[in-house]
Formats: sequence, structure tokens, C-alpha cells
Amino acid sequence: MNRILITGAAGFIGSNLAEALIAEGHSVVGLDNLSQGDLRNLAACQNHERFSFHKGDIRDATLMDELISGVDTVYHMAAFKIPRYSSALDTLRVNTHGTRVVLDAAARHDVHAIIASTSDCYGRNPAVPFHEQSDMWMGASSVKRWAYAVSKMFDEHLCYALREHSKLRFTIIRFFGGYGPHQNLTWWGGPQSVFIGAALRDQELELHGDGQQTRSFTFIGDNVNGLMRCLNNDKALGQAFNLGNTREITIEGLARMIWRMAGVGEPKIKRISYRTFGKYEDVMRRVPDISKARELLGYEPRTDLEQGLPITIDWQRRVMAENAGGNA
Amino acid sequence: MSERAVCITGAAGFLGSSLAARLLRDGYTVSGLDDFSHGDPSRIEHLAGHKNFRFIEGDVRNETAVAEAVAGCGQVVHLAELKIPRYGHALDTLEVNAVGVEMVLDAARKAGAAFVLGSTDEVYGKNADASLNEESVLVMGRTDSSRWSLGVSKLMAEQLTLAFRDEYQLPVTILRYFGLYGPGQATDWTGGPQAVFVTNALKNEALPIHGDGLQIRTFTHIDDAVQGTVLALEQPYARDEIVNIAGRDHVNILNLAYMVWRLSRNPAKPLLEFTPYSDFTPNYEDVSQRIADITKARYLLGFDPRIPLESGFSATIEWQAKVLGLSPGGR
Repeated sequence: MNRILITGAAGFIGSNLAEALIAEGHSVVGLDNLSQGDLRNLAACQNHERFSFHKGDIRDATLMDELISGVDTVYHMAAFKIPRYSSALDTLRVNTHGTRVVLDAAARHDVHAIIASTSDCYGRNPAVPFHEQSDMWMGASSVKRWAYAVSKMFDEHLCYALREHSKLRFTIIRFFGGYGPHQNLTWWGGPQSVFIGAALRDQELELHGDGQQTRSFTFIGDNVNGLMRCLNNDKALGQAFNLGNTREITIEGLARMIWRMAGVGEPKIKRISYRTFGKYEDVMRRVPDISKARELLGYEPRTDLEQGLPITIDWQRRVMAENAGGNA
Repeated sequence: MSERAVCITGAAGFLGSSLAARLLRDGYTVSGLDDFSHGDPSRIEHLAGHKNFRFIEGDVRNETAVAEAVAGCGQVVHLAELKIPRYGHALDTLEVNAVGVEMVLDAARKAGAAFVLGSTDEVYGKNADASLNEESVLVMGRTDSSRWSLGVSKLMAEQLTLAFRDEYQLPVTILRYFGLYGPGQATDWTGGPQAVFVTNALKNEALPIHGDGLQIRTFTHIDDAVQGTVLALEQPYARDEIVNIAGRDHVNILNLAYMVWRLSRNPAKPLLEFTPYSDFTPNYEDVSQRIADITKARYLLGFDPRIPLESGFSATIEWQAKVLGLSPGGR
């Protein structure tokens, strides 16, 4: 049995991971400042004897030192994502200051830090699929979408620098498009989240650009499975791993699939120009090469979109009904 | 508060000290900050008595020192940085270049001063396009290669700078300098390959070439870099812009070595020593060419770099020989 801290525990990945770790018999401490996370995501954990929750910020060095001193592993999942409707300052600050605090405390207490990074680090690299040593193509600095990827690249460098400086034990996980129960219901949760919401309300699904950009979507259970395979695993130390489903699908294809599962009648699809985001650059293809995770972690994604999306749609329908009830 | 009062961080550095001297000559008031971790006190000794110059010894991560340096200034030129993680702890590079910039940005915001970030061609990373302009993709190699710590830390600094502009309407300019050289440069590896070439050529020692020496770089004479920076300070069009500041000439490292050897008037045939990259840090990756496109600086700011590589290097070699107590051609 491990004692584990999860940062961003009330978020999408953190809350699903907490449930799974508790089910495996581990003790879990959850931390979240609830700026983006939602306590409802922890409903299944809240009253469990092997779970405790702390509301707090990862940038609080005293708190982080205290929490990390009591565990053997920290899953650092707290992050701010791509800035779309605000400045990039929070993304840059939370992701780098916060991660620094977490990693410093982990190094001090010799705790294995498993940190969330992102496929966005590969950026505009046209050579898909991406393996862990692929180059990271950032667009022009004047496009603020890149602030997220730059902050995560910075975090990755911090990991290696702190290994050199203070023998930090770490593992970096680059996620590719997670979806599933507890996903954020806004754009923060990704296109599938927005599409499901719109289809359930019989509203138009908005495609950015021509909708022909491709992504791979990974069911949360497969992400959690990959994360758990890093626990107590020496082969994961000092490594970065892509985790994800290798199936490539266009955003339009995803929209049509979701409409078939959640909508009524002919799909309502609307294309909107990137210009509405200000200066923006999209990534045309994004697919992981997961052979490293297969080889070192024994990782294999098991849930395809045809199984994962209906589970997600059911969950989202229930949450939307609850929200509507709450507002009534 | 006057726009003609300028704070320079990294004031005892190569570019910082040269810029300070130029601004003082032009009638500016200059406030310099440096912690002498890499900066050299001798570079600013001759400025010490100037009535319009003040100097604060301190780290860019020290809030009090930074606030003191920025006080009363209408513009801040942030040049303090750590380079080349190859030779030290990558952690210091990440910290000074990212945490430091945030500290200085915040001080500029509080003082109501415009901010100029000194960035670097290293942000273009592995992009080996025929020429690099400000919209080119910025290609970093794998994160387990510490050489990219510098590029990533400067990308972070650029993003922070633009985020401060968006969040607080701070007037900002980002200048990406390419391969600075000239009198005043560091005479070891921190000054770049050309600095080591000059030192070794003067000592009749082999010039160390990394890889095959065919990698192409753009070199910029310090006076041209200073001129570009002054234009950015004085030209309102520079606000909110990212601009390459570079010389006209690019050359591969092998030919640079030959040129330095010849201009050092060394009578022997050039001595070269090739070092494979495998002797560097793990997973070291080099960049085959980095050629600046300075069209934007030329047309937006009227930047016109004037110093050709050969005459620039002749003067640099004379200077470096004097500093090292060696004489070109003699032994």
C-alpha cells in the first residue's frame, strides 16, 4: 500500500485517479484550490477512510512541504491550460511556480513525482506519430496559445534539472486528449466535452477552421491505467512517456460520431473561423507513438471511442440534468 | 519620469556595458544592475564616475535590488541571463532566465516603465530554415537534453513578457540577438566559439571545433547590436514587437576559425581540434544553420548593421590580444 498525494485532485484526471488508487487499496491525499476543479468529482472518494482532501494552492510551499513529507508518491496533475479568453499569465505562473514548489518538496523528501505534461509540447511538428524524442515545434511567441506548451516544456526541464541538482525521482506523462466522466464541461475539457453538451441540447457543434485537423482521444480509464503503471516502477524513473489512444480521427469525424450517439436527427455542424480567437494557430495532426509506454510500462489503451463516448455521454447527461435541477 | 532614463539589468555583461556606455554618450541617464556572477566589474569601471550613471550590485531575483535599479527609469532593458547550461547547472539557467524576468517585469510595471527583453537566436532552436524571421517556428529538441534549457527558458521569458503586456498593458519589445562578438566579449566559452578561437589563435593553440564545423551561424558586432537596441528604445514602432537584431554576415564555424587564425597573423598553418558531440552532455544536439532575417528590423526600425565580419574581427583580435597580454603575430 502506498501513501499518495494527488494535486489537482478535484480535476478530471486527478479525481478519476483518486478513485482508482483507493480501489487498489492505497491511501490518497487530494489537494485542489478548486479554481477549476469541482468537489462533486470527488463524491465517490469523500467519505472513504483512506481519502482526505485539502483545499489549497500548489504554490503554497509550506503546505506542499507538509503534505509531501507524509507520502511516498505525488501525482502532480494540477495545471492551467491553454489561455483562450484571458491573458496567459495564470497559465505561465501556476504551471511553473506551482510545479517548482511540488518538485522541490518531492526532491527534499525523496518522493517519486509523476507529473502531467501534454501532447501540446510537440506543437506544430508535422512528423506524426510523435515519439518521446520528437522535436517540439512552438509557433510564434506572439500567439499566446503556445504559453501552455512552453510552460509544460519548462516544467519538464525543471524535472531533469532537479534530478541533476538534487536527485529528484520523477516521471513525465504527456497526455493526448483525455475524455470521460468528470471532464470539464467547457472548452477547457476539450472539443468532445463541448460537442456532447451541444448535441444533448440540440445545438450546433462548432468546428474551428475546416474541422479536418486530427487528434487522438484517450478514455480516462486508459490514462489512469498508464499513470498507475508508473507507481513503484523503477523503469519509469527519469522517463517521459506518451500516454494515449493511437487512433486518429478528424474533429469533424468526432463531431458526427457524437451527434449519432447523443443528438437527434441530422447533425447540426457549424464551421467557425479561427479569427474569432484573435491570433491563433492550430495543430493539424496529433497522434502518439506509445511504443515506449508499451515496452517499459506494459501499457495498452483498451477503451475505444465507441465504448468510451457512450459512458461519457451518459455521465454528462446526468450532470447537466443535475445542474438544471439545481438552477430551477 | 523620462524615457531617457534607462535601467539595464546585466549591466556588467558584454552587451549591457556596451549599451550603457553608448546611452551615457548620447545623454541618457543609466541605472545598471548586475550581480557579477558572470558580469565583469572591469567592464563598467570607466563608467563609475559618470554623473548620469548609477550602479546597483544585486541579483535579478532580488526584489529590493531590482526595485532600486528600476526606480526613476522610463525604460528597462533586461539583459541579465545565464547561458550555456552545458557548463553548469541547468537549474540556474531556468531560474535566472524565467524567475528573473518575472521579477524585472513586475518592477517595470510598478514603476510605469516600458520593458525591453533581450532574447536570443537560441529560441529558433533546431529550425534550420534558409533564414529565420520573427514568425518562424521555434523548434526545441527533446527535453532530456539540457542544451535546450536555455531556449526553453527564453521562450518562457518571451511568453511572460507578452503576458504582462496583455494583463497590465505594459509596453514591451522583444529583441532576439544573434551571435554577438566584439571588443568587450568574454574571452572563454561563455563568449561563444569565436572568443575561444581568438584566445587560442593568439596562444598558438588548436581551435576546438564541435562536430564537423559546417554548422552556420550569424555573427553580430557589438556596435551593431547596441545600435539596434537604441533604435528599439527610441523608435515607437518597436512597441509590442519581436525583432531580430543581427549582423549581415553568416559563416560556418570552420571558416570562422580560418578567418580568426589568419587575422591573428599566426604564421603557422591553422591548428584545429575536432570534438565529437558525444563528449558533451547526454543527448546533445547541434543546429546545422542559424541565419537571421533582419528585414523587419531594417524596415520597421531603420536598422542597418554596418560592420563587416573581417574588419569587426580584426579589431576584436587587437582588443583581445591586449586584454590577454598577447600580441598578434608575435610569440
